[in-house]
Amino acid sequence: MAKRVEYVKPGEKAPATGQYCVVGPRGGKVGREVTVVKGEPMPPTPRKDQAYQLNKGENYRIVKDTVKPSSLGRSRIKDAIYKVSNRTKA
Amino acid sequence: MAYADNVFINCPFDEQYKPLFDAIVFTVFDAGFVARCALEISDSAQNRLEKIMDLVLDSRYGIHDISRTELGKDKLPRFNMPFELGLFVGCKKYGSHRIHRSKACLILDRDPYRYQKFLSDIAGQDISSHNKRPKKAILEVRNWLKTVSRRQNIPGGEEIWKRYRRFQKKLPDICAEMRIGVHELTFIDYMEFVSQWLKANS
Repeated sequence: MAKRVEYVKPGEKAPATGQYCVVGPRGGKVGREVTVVKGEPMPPTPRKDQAYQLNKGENYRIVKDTVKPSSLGRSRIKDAIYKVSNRTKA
Repeated sequence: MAYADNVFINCPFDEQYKPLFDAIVFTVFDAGFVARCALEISDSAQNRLEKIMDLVLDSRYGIHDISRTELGKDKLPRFNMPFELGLFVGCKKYGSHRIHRSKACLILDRDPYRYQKFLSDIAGQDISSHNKRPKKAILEVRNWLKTVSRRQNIPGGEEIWKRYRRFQKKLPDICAEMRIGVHELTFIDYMEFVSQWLKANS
């Protein structure tokens, strides 16, 4: 049985982080690629009958979110910035 | 965090260079990109060279400051920056995926033609000089990012400089609020401060 190819339409959430190529209505690559992070909406395609296909099998490591968050805590930093900004305005 | 947003910063990490480094990191964030550098490694147990190679692989853009390539106290040159520049150029040329062909790098030095005396192989590349001045570094980085990324929404260099000065003025107060000294901030902390301040002040 033939393997089912998964296409993602513009506006849909990206199922994985990686490189997506634009494919035509019959699945042929049109030579354009985008890099999208998992969960982000796919950008518009050049033509309305086109979709995206995740590049698999190519030797490309999926970009990982490797930056660790600050140990000081994002919400504490946000609060401090907010307080200092308000103090200046007052 | 997307490959196309990552900017690998390869520069000295000493006190003397800090004003330039802070200005460059701020500019990268204000232009809508994400700064990545080897200082992220201090928080992990990963091998330093492997981590640097991962950063090079994950970054479309690279800023390489070779201004500190000079003789140290033991009369030996510091060659980490030219070495990492070589890794970046090599990845662009020989990277296994064609995504790496789109890599672009900015090479900074303190004088325009000094590199010809120690790294003549890079002749023909555009080398920019910052004259050890943060404002000049901001303008160079901003103009380069604007040119190579072709993004329309990058603020002007003067605007970034003004915002940077405002941020620098507020930073001690923000740190005092957090009960931490400005000099105690790690790179990861500084990145978080910059990105949150820019979100609150844009």
